[in-house]
Amino acid sequence: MENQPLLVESFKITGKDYENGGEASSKIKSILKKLGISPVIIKKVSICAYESEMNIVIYAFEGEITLNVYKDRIKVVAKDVGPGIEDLELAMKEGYSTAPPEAIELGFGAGMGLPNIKNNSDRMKIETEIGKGTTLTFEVDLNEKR
Amino acid sequence: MKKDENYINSIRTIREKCIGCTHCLRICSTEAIRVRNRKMELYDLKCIDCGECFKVCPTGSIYSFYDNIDIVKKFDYNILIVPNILPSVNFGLLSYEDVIKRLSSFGFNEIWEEGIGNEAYLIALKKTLKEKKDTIKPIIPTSCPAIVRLLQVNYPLLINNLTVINLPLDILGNYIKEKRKNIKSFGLFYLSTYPCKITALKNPLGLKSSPFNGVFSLSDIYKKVLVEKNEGSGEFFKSGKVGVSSGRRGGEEDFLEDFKVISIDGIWNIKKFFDEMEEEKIPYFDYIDAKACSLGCVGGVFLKNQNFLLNFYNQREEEKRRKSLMSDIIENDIDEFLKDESLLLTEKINPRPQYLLSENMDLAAKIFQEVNTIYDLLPKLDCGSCGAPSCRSFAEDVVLNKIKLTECKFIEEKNL
Repeated sequence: MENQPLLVESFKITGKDYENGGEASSKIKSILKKLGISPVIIKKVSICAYESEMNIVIYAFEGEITLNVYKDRIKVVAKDVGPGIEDLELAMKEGYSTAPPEAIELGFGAGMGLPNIKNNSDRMKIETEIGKGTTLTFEVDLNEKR
Repeated sequence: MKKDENYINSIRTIREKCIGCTHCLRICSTEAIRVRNRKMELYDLKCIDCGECFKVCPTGSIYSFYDNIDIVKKFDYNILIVPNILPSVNFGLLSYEDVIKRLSSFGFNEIWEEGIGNEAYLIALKKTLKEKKDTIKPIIPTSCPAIVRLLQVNYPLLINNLTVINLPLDILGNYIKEKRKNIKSFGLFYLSTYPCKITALKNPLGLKSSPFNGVFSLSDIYKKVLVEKNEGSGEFFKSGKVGVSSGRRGGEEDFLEDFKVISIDGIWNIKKFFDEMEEEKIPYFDYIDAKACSLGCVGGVFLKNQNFLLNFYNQREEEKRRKSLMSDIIENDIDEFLKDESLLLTEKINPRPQYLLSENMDLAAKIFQEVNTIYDLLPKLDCGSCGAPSCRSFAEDVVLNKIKLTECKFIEEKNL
């Protein structure tokens, strides 16, 4: 699996920037479309990318999302500088959320973000350090017909 | 009319008139236009026939293909379907009835309002929404052919949201064809206000053949109606309120009031909405009443000098004048309209994405990176003086060898 990525693109994300939240995942979607990736895969990656982008917007100070396209898979790394996740197991539970009130008012924070990424990706990994930040990595395989 | 698979779009240009001004370049929602050697060039496969370029062209060099009215002479008995927005069109002092009589004098034995087809379409749609719970939602209509084409070229993820119900125009066409099958030499025609519908009749999407024998354009017929002195006595079949209202923004929404329906008009608004739909950022809807023209079909493109806001007003006035909700024909014969043969599409509408950098993913990724390298050199003003709609599309054209990098005015200056 350790081949060179065909393409790497990074996008900066600002915490609390609800107005522009979702732009990075839109751009990721349009890149994947240009590459001719199958609609099913694009849909999965867009959903996961959007959730990870909104996680940075809602919880972190700043972050960066990096799209890596490999021959056989798509890897997205969402790295942030932020509070970190206290209880990872709890965070993975559907319906559990620690979203701030303004995010809930906007309709976020239903506790579906991380479970959604897990369900729509083939692999997912979270590394987190309290007070420092979180790095979420997910991969979607390209085995389906393009 | 036989289906012509090679007929891609109806937008044509008069090269001598084109001054290469780039108005059309900026308005095109699918980046189908380039200006090369000071002339507009169209990438046929990218064009979705929305007609926005026609509306903004200052020199009148963009027009739409249409059939000559003389083709009615080929048949002994002719039927014309007029667009449901015809009442909105300003013919000066002529009343709508006068217009219909003059149209009839061109050789039409019967004139039908397209709205009757829209009524059948909406009844069928309501039935689907009520009874077929497993239909993918929100349903996107086939009634605006420009939208169907937009999905094909730009939104393959949404193609399964398209309804399997036929274009309202074709539903009515099929009905008339069946009802008049005993007449030997009979021609069925449509008077179109949009290039998208002309293409939809020449090369119907989702159908093997079209029930129509020809299609005229309102911009051509408009002048002819104004100078015509004779009045014909062809029979006139009117739609009800619903048929008239379906030609404007919100009309379908009014009829489908029990469902969660959103009306969107204008091609750019629709693009934005579809983008968000692809990313699953849109809440649940049953149906999207999407119409490519501003304020719906009343904002149609063949009459540039008409004010579409006034057209919208006129259309609403006509709605008030109609006594019944639906046409008598619909009231009495709805089952005939709802037969699968005339109601449903016979072929699947497939995506044909036009944004791919290459069919091969490795190559596409390489091209993408080269495009980025070129893009970084560009001023990012999207000024259009190179003849491409944006710096990014220019960079793509450069990498794909369609244009030289030095065509960019800013690069040129730097090199000198």
